Amino acid sequence: MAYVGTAHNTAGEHMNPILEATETAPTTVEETVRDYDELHDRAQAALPDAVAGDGVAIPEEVADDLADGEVVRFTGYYRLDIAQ
Amino acid sequence: MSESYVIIGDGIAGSSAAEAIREEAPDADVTVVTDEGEALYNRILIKEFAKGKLPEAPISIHEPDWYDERDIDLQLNTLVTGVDPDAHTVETHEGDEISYDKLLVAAGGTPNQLPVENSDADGVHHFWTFQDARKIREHAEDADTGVVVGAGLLGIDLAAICGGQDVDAKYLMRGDRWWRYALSAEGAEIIHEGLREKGVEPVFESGADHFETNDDGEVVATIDGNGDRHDSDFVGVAIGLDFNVEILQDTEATIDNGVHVDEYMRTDVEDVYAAGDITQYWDTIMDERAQNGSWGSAKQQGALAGKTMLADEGYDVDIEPFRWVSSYSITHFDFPFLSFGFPTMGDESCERKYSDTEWRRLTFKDGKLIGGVLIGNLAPQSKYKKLIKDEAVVADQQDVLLQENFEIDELAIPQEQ
Repeated sequence: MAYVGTAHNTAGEHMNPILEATETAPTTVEETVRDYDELHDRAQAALPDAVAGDGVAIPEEVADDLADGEVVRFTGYYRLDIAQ
Repeated sequence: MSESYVIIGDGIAGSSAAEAIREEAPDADVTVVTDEGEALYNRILIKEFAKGKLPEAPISIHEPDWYDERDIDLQLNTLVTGVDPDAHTVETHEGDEISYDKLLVAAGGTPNQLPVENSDADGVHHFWTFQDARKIREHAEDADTGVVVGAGLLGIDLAAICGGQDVDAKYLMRGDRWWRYALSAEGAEIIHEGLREKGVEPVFESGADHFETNDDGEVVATIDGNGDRHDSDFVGVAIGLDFNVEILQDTEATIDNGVHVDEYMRTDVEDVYAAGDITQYWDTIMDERAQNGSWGSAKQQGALAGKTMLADEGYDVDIEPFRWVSSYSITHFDFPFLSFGFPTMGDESCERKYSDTEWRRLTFKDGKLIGGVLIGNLAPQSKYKKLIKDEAVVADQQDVLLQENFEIDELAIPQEQ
């Protein structure tokens, strides 16, 4: 797992949200899709790592810029999963 | 108060302004006028529709209900033909007059046509609106051969559409590489290889001399600048935009390939504002006029224009000067591409190649980082954007800046900055 942004606490009091991105078939998408260029800078910085790996720990403010379950167009189409 | 705000254009700039105004002024009259036949859609993603990757539904951003719910009067298929600043009215193509207290011009641009024979033939496409994308998709799905003209950020979308639709295409470029103003030969070759893998062949030092048509007036071939003939029943042209400034031509607005606005989006005409790619705005980072067509920039400018209109009308609204480092990505290939800031400007540059699909170039002006291009690894973009915003003098530390992974605190930045 990669880590982006603020530190997370492994002692259990607080964990940063985990962002995962799973490639999806675009032609089956009927809901709104956002493009990478529409994301806030902080979310833009986190997404490539999420696409490349299993998941990245992201600061709360990045999680606020993204919606759990939304589809984002990057080098492919990715459905986002944000685990709090 | 029951003042009237009129917005010309329902792109992301105009729509963001309307939203900002309605949030602060629930009783004001807000009218959005657009010559297009549909409400705000995702202009970034229409290329994906044209490729055949996305259906129509995900492209839409605002349904008509969005305007109804906010009591915003959306007037589709309505072209504004002129502004009378003294009377505070705009005139439409049907001769109707709309009165305003504050007017925002966010009318964008219109694609330039190639000044060559048969450039208006059937099958020669320009790419700007959703309606353009529909025509391109319909045609490209049936086309066997294609040509794309325009070696820039819009032209490469047309090339990718050809690739996505299995059109056997040539990409004609006047110079020796794609986007030669921002990329060296080494960086551009990564893009060229990506194009080839999509089935699109770059043809350098060529350009289009004219088009051949059949008896039905449909394009069948492109003759390039060297006299070579390329079969092309599909042609895509992207050689820049003419900005829709003619509606302000009889006003005191300063027009210079766009409309001059200050850092709050005010034009030189009282009660008239502008936002989006139509503006020649005052860039507070570069200390000079600039123009930008990115989605993020247009959204920010539109929201700021809306707030400035409110503040100038007497509302208690905080406004801050426009200060934004834009970026624009290309994600057609297996590797991402991102340009940021002003990659085609500056008096100094540095670059490094890290792998077959990873490359970076940075540009500087007066010792300050002002822009760059990233291919492959986009991770450092937010650090570079921060350095640009901070106007940090770092041109003497290019070795650090070009490290594959660098931290800002590794740089020796003078304290007075």
